Amino acid sequence: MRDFTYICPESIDEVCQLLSEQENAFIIAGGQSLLPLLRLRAADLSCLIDINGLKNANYITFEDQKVKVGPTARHAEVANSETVQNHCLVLSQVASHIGDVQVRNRGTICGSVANADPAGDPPILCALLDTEIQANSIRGETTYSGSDFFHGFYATDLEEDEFVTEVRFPEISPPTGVGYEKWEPSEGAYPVATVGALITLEAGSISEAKIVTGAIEPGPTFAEEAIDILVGQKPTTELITQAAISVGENSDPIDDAEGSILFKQELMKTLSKRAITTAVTSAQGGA
Amino acid sequence: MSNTNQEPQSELVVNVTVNGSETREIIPARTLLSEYVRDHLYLTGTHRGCETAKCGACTVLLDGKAVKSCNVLAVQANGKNVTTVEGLDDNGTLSPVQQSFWDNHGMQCGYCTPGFVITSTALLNENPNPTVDEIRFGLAGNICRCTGYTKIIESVQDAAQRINKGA
Amino acid sequence: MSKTQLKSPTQTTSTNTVVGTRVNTKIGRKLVTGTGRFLDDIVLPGMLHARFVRSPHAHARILNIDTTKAMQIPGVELVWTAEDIDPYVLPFSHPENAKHLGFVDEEVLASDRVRYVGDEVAVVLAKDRNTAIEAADAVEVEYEKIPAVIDAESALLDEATIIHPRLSADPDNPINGNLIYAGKTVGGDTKTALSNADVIVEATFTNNKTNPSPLEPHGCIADWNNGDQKLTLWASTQVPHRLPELISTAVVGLNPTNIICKISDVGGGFGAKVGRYSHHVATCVLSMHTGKPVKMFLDRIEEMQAGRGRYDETMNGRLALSKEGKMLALDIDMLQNTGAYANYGAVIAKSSALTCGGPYLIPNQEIRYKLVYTNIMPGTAVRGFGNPQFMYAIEQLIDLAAEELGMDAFDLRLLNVPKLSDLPLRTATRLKLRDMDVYGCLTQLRERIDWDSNRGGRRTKDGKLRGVGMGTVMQRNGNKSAKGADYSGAIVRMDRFGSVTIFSGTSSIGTGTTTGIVQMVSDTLGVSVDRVNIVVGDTDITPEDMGVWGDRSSVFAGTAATMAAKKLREKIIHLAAHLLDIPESNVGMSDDKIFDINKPKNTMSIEDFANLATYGDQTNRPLEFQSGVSLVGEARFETQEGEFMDEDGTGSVSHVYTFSSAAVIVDVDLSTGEIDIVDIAIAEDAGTIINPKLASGQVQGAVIQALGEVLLEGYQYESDGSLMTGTLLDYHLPTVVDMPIVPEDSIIHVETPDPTTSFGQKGLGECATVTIFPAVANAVADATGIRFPTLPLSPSRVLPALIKAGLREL
Repeated sequence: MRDFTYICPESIDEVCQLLSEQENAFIIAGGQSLLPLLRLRAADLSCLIDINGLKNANYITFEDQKVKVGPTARHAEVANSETVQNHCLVLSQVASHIGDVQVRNRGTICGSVANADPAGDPPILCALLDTEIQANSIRGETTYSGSDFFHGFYATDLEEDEFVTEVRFPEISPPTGVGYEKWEPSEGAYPVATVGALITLEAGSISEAKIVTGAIEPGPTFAEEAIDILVGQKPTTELITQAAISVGENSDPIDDAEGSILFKQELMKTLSKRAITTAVTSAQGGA
Repeated sequence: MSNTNQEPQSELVVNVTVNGSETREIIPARTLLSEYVRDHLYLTGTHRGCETAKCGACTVLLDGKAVKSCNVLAVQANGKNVTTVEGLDDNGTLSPVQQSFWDNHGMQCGYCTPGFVITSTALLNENPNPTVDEIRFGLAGNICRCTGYTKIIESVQDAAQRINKGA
Repeated sequence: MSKTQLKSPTQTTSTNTVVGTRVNTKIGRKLVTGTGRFLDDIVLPGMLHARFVRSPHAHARILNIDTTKAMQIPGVELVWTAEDIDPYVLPFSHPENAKHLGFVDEEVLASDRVRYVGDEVAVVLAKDRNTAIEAADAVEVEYEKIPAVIDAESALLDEATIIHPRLSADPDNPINGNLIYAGKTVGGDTKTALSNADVIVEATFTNNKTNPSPLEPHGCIADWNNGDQKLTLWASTQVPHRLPELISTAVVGLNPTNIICKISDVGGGFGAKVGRYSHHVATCVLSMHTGKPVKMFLDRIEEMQAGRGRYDETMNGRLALSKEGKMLALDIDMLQNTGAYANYGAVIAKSSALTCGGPYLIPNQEIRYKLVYTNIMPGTAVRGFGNPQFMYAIEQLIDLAAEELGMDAFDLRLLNVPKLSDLPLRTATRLKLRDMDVYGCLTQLRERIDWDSNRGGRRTKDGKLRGVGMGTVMQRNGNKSAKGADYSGAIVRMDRFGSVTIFSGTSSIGTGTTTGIVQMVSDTLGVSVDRVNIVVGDTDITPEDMGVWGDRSSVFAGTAATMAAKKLREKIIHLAAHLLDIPESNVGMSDDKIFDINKPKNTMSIEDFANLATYGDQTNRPLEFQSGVSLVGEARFETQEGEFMDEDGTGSVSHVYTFSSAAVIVDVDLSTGEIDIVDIAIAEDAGTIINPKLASGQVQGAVIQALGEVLLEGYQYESDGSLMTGTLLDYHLPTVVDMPIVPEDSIIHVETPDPTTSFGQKGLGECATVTIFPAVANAVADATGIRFPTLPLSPSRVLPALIKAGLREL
């Protein structure tokens, strides 16, 4: 690992100040993605700003019908939070399957959102649930919409001098339900294909549908055709299958060490069917 | 640690309580927690295996939570408690987890063993009666190349029984 | 086995009390407390840290190396290229390549071209590891890329770039173009048998290139003492007594006798630590040059690029049978993707071609093999030593033959294996099969896996396809031909306190052998295991030994230690008889006591005896002991069973062979292509099981190591030779969640004692690594009807195949 300088401020304002002043500065929260990059000398930085010293930053609260996750709340804390389980169960479920236990004990939701790894789960969930992503800089506070915050490989709307200070997840309850599926080649490995589905039912028909794929493409991607297939229809198995096939066929993976385009598209079909089915069931008030 | 109103530093003083003893060292900022315990404190039970935070051989407890010490900076442990594998026994009496790993042959070459023992200790602290699937899920961040894992799972089950009997 | 009186000179006459029991591993306490001493834990005063600069290209000419920037980094001692190191080193290869094929093809540092991603280009020496890494990154190398070739078939084409042009042009070696060597193993007359057969099945299978990935990376510390002109080498190695010999052939002016090899605790080996690597040679040279200790500890990225692993081999095979199902001929063309340097390629090909007939009495066998240079990581010895590749193909050919004949695949196998009463016999490749119950193993395997109700494939309640399959192996225990001899030495010493120390030249890599040796010595001397310690490795202390590989250590080091303990026992009895005033034949030794077997009250503790032997009245001893009692026994055990391989590639090279078989039930998920391992059974005849707990641990580990290779792992290279699977993030080692539980009761030990080893033991560590390969493939074919030509059987291969077969479900 190459040398760098380090500072651990106590307030968001200090972080903002440092971000505006320091050349080539990076934020470290959990560090679970950043440190391996530094160790492989795949990232170069001059100054590391550690936000783990921020006061009152490690929180998970429910206010204004939203689950608010602070900048240093760890995946494990989110996964085990009763607040999260009561109001946005899917967030708890997703957080409990990020990486492995050691990673979840360090990694943070806000850090993962800012990092925008195509295979990361929080960005996909943020796009699906249209979470509010709050960021700060010396210019003040900005709130981004999760639906259009991510723009491919590690790219987001964040400005260079901004950092994520809170992510707000909407409360999810029937008649809205969410399903989330991912496939990892081995446990804890980066997922090869991920899909989230959100379904709202009205009088037995699908009034709103969202499907977001991830890992398979450079960033969270909405499966528009499948959404069109679902909306306004009764959620029959045939319909869900049709939508799932559409998700797979319209996904745009690359051929790499994890498999061919065909394999990834087919896998996406299977995962989509499972995710949409789960979303429908939970929208109906099922488990 | 907080160094409010200071400039970013390339060398820092850290105070870490390791296995109950206070340590104080001046270290480069880039020092990993694994380097701190191995190269500064000579606690070499924490092993380096993969560079990418995959294998878990370097797992330690940071304020009671299992973390991969190759993926945490030493300065991030400033003011905190770290437990390495050397801190688990009680004056030479093996902890229930250590004893169970030995008795059940939950190890072969032993390189991954400290990581497994530490992760299992944290697992049983949080969940004293884990099912087999909970044990597996809890140990997914540790790689063992020798045992094939069956005897590791049995070691953790046995450790749970020993701890529960002792309690 | 217990309480059996054995006759052979190698065997003990004592009563077994700890052999056969579940003794805890002797090294366990230090391992669970983190107080083991692995290579990287060793720090010497003034020690410098070395690091290689490795090639990012698979094939390129080195035009220029600029070390200026690296040298400017504070703490950097030196940066050397081939030009700097060449006066001190010699090119090297596996000794058999030099001896029999007349070439050496490896350089410590590449002088003119690099041949794979990870090839060593320069070496940096610095005050600490981080500085060495930084400096290695700062070395600027100018390359001119040359077209790379990554598969063996393409490498043999006329238009392929020649990877070792100088060697190819040299008429004194067999290298021609990229073909390193073509050889064959011939037993019988395959051609005639093929033409007379009723049924011939033919198929082609290729295994994946894998890395056994011992969790401790390779590493060593070289410490040259300019005063006594000796070099002490601490190494993470399986072969402490071999390594100095191997290193000395590559370092100018360094004799093997001037190298003292010491071993740390070794964090796994699996074959990858039997060889000599560039890092061994470079650290020795750098220590000799600087006069300081030099450590090189590879990281995982280096391990993935250059740590070496299992060869990927393509088997095009034919199995010929009579219509009654008698196997008549086995005919295989094997193509080995040898990689950038030959290393173990030839010895693995020869050795596995010799044994690949397995337990099957196939009278005609011809295995033709070709070794081919390509621009990928070289291979090395890996658990199974070529047998997984062959048995993966052959056992699938047998299943195909059964299908063709309309026979049950298990029945077909039983028809072609020897019964106990058929032994001893020689196979077509002249392997001596003796003292093994192949038929008994298979019968029990069939029952344990419930073959007859699972075979044929069916759908499970949750919609998966289920099938069962099996595989076998005849695994070598040691190999005389490989090293020119096969032996182990041991010294057993009792001190004045009655404690026993065994000195053995083997290495402790986690296999449990050292604990097994302690148990054998413990029973031989009638003392408790707690009283017995074992020192392994250090070449200045321990007797010579070939090391731990090839399922040989329990057999050779175990027998040698038992023989040495017997010699010590004879001395003890001679003196004790005098002290107890009874005939020697009446002296008993057990439970840490020496006693009169007719009057057990006439006894003394082993401590009292040892004290008396040292401090007792000299005149109260037999005459020959009056000038001092040396309570030491020593012995060497060298195989009289093993033979050298003949020109035709045949010969019984190993002391003994362990028969092993595996059966697996799988479920195939039609929506993902995932394969679940539902049940596993292993039946093997490893002779007397010295320690059931440690032995089952070996089998369980072997099973999972193989399942990782069969289901998950595999090197992948881009067409230009770039490595796509260079970290553990994209090379998937199995985790505990991915793998099935293998309970001890799924392992059946059929114990036919070997009459030539001290307690009847045979080796067992490698066997299940081999048998799982074909067992899984055959089970998947039973479930789905699909045969996969390549490995691993990951969903990325299985799901598309299910689609093609019309089996895929959403």
